[in-house]
Amino acid sequence: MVLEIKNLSKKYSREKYGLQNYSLLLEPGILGLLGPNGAGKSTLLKMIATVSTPTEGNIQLDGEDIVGHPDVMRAQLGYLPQDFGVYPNLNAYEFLNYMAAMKGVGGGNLKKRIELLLEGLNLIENAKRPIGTYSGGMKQRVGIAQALLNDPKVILFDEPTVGLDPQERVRFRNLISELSDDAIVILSSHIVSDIDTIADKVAIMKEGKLLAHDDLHSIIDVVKGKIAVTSMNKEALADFKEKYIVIDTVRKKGEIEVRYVDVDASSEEEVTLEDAYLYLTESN
Amino acid sequence: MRRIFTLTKYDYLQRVRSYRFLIIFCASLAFAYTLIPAPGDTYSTVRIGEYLGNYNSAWIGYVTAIMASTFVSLIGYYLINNSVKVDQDTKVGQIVAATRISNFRYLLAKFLGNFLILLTIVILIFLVGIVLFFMYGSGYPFQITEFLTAYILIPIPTIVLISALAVVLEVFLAGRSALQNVAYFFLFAIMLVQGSRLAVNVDPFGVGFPTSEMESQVAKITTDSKKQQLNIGFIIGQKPIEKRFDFNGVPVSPLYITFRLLWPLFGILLIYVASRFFHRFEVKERLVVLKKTKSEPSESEKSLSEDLDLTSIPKLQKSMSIFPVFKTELLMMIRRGNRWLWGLNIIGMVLLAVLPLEAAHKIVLPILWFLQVHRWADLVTKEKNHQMHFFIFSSFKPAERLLTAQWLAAVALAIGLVLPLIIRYLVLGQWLLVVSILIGAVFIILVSSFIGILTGGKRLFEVLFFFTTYMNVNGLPYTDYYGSINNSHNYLFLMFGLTFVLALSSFLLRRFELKKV
Repeated sequence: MVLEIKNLSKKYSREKYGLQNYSLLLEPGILGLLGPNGAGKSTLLKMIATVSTPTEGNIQLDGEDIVGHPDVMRAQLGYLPQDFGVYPNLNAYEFLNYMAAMKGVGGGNLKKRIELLLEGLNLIENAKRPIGTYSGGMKQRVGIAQALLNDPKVILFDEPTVGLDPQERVRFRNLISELSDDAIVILSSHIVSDIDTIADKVAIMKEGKLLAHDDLHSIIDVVKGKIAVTSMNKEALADFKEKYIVIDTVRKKGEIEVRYVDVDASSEEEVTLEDAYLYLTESN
Repeated sequence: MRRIFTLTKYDYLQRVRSYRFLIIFCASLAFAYTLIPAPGDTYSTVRIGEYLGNYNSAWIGYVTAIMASTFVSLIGYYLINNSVKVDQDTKVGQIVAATRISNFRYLLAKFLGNFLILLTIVILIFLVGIVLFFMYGSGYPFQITEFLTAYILIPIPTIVLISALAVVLEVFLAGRSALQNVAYFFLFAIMLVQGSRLAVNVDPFGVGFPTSEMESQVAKITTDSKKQQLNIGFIIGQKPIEKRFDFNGVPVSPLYITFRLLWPLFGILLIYVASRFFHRFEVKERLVVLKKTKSEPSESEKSLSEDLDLTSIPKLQKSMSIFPVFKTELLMMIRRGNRWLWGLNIIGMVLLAVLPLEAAHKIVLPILWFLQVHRWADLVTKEKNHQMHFFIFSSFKPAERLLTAQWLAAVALAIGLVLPLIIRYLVLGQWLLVVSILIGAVFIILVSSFIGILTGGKRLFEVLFFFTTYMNVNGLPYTDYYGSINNSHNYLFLMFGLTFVLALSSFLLRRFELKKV
């Protein structure tokens, strides 16, 4: 299965682009989509999910144009949008039955599949309560359940860990890593730790443009040798920030330890995806 | 005071910038244009027996002011009945609740926002009235004071009262929008009927005194009491009204002015009383806590399972059936609103079974259907209201499958409710009437669907449905969509054609909407 995004643009007004000339080729595995707020991550996912139409360019799934034929994608899509609601008067069983019908799936296994998903997502005990009474994390899990309902081959998670507590986030990451064998999973987030443990590949975006797309280690290697650490007082920090890209600051015994990018550093400092992400987004 | 002004200003701006307001504004423009019939037209809006006033400033000013007072109170309420609810839905209310603003000041700001919305419509009608004066000018001098007096005394105090009532109903019936709609429907009917029975000065809409003055001026021309009878509303005749009289305006009495001032003061007093009971946005949280305490999940249940093996979950088959969607849509409609509203529905169904056929068909049926306004008004917009549209619009063939299921579910509910009447007609062999009711059910659902998709909201349908039901209950033939008055074959074909056009338009609009999300 191949998902090909070719020269994709979404124009909101004469000069405002949500996404500009974006191209990407994806095969089964997990792509971590990183970018600051407003980078165009949700815009891209909406277009892949066929709920938004590109202004230019096209998206092909196994060679079929999904902009012109959205049902090709919809038949095998699992999508968890960033902001979503639920029908508060339905319980989890009813909601998932409804969503299964909307997705065009059913049959004798439906009840069993819904039960197993609810069980796996630890919603079974509360499955008969109206969803309107659920907490934010529980609603998020209902959203995850509906995304996995139709055994999708293209799975889009837009900021999926919002509302989940730290334990749930870890378990969610374990869950989606299971999906990567035969499905294309795109996981969008601005939280680097959501991505760096599970993504096979990483795409970094800013202001609607693709800054980098490569496997995780190659992306991290971009900043290898360029990260340095120094200490200074509070007053000097403002001037320092004008000269260097500051990754992190830690207050230590009246001084501030600063982790920053210095392209000439040739340092031995261990680098992370967060370093690479900040370097790429700040330097472009 | 400055804080109230700021709150009011942004509340007003937020509401007038909506697409829905634009549509209501345009509808009001069209309505205002029809208030004064063009020379040669065969209808009237305000008429005294067989007499119509000459088109001088006083007549045009008072007629448009009287119509504005009743029209804006009738449908304007549905434009402004959610100002507090919007703050609750958007969570802005929680931020407001955490500020130092008092309940009274907050509600006063909401009331002023409501008032400004209605005032905008009244000013529009006022300006159209002046334009019509010059368009149909029959040689009379333009007297702005006649227009101003009429508008200041008639619609302005009325909209102050309606704006206050909207806030008060939102406070006392918080979270029960269906009940608010029904309560206002009856309140309006009581104010209109009982108001006219009170002394002419006391009428809350302010139309009693000027219309009695019109009647007395006609009484000087003719002694026939039938020819002095007031008729308000769109009445279509066979030929243009030829008998005219010179209306000289209303001699404003201190008693009339006092009562016109008392109604707005009464409205503000009601707001003050309501502010003592205002929930300050605690309602929803309290409900959730109550429900949570019934079956609070344990700590272990709150997290994702570590044992979920996605590979072991059975796979599903393709299924194009829309029956589960239909079933859930019907279920959601049935569960909407308060349970006791179903008590009213059952009473309505019993009345359909036992009342004389004419009363059941002409009066009970439209009221029973109107009671479902909250269920049908957001039939096709609830996906967006509940932020479900990204799920729904990325599903398989959403335009064809979901829209069809929604129509079928809503029509099933409409037909189910009036089944006792349908059975009675079937027993009597009144096939034409049965078909009329069935087409009426489909028609009203498609109107809600078309308007919902077009405007993206439920407000315009609520307004139209309220207006239509009011006309239906009063036996006016023009809005009879369910064959209680018009039940010829030709009329059925017309309704069938309209229904088909609505269905096609809704479908095409939804497909277009899906493409431009």
